[in-house]
Amino acid sequence: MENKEIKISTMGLNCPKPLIETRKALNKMQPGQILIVEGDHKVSLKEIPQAIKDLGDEVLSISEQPDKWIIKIKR
Amino acid sequence: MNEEKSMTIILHSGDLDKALAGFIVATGAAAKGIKTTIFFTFWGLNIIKKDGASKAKLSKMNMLGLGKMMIKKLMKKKNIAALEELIKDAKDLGVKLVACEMTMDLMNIPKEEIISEVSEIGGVGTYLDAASKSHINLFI
Repeated sequence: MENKEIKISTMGLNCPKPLIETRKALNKMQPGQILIVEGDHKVSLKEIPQAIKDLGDEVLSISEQPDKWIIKIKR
Repeated sequence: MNEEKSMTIILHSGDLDKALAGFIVATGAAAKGIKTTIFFTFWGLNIIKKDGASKAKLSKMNMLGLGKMMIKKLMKKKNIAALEELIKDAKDLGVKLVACEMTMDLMNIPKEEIISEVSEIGGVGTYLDAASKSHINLFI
């Protein structure tokens, strides 16, 4: 269970929901678990990684595709 | 890490647009690990009354509710969270919601009329304790 990746989608959501949903998901996770967030809100692509660092979690990767982005985070 | 940062907001306004701004900043801050308190006073208390968030009007262009209807419709279309949803998110993210005791008394609002997301009823001292330790203090 601890190593299972958790995926959430914020597709279509507007500010500040992608950030809120990311944080709510992380708050329910154990340290070491991986969260994968996908979304298409452009500003959140910049803001989520910053917010992740602010709370001491780790951004593992960011991938940008034409119609969406995916951020991988380690709790 | 942001663990030592904190923010307070006095929500004095009961207007929908201003309350939305307050809750967007509060939930955003909480998501960034900033410890946040919202202190509701005067018309701001209307937002935390049961069904109060849904009754809030726009500060401008309300046009007897027509303006509000248009904004609500646009918000839905553009997937912008409603105030009611942000209040729940604020609670989930640990934002402390405090109702002002003196104005509740003044406006004859019993605590039974206040939504359960509000964790505390306090006075100016409660606010100042939080504000004096905070980096960001807003009055809306």
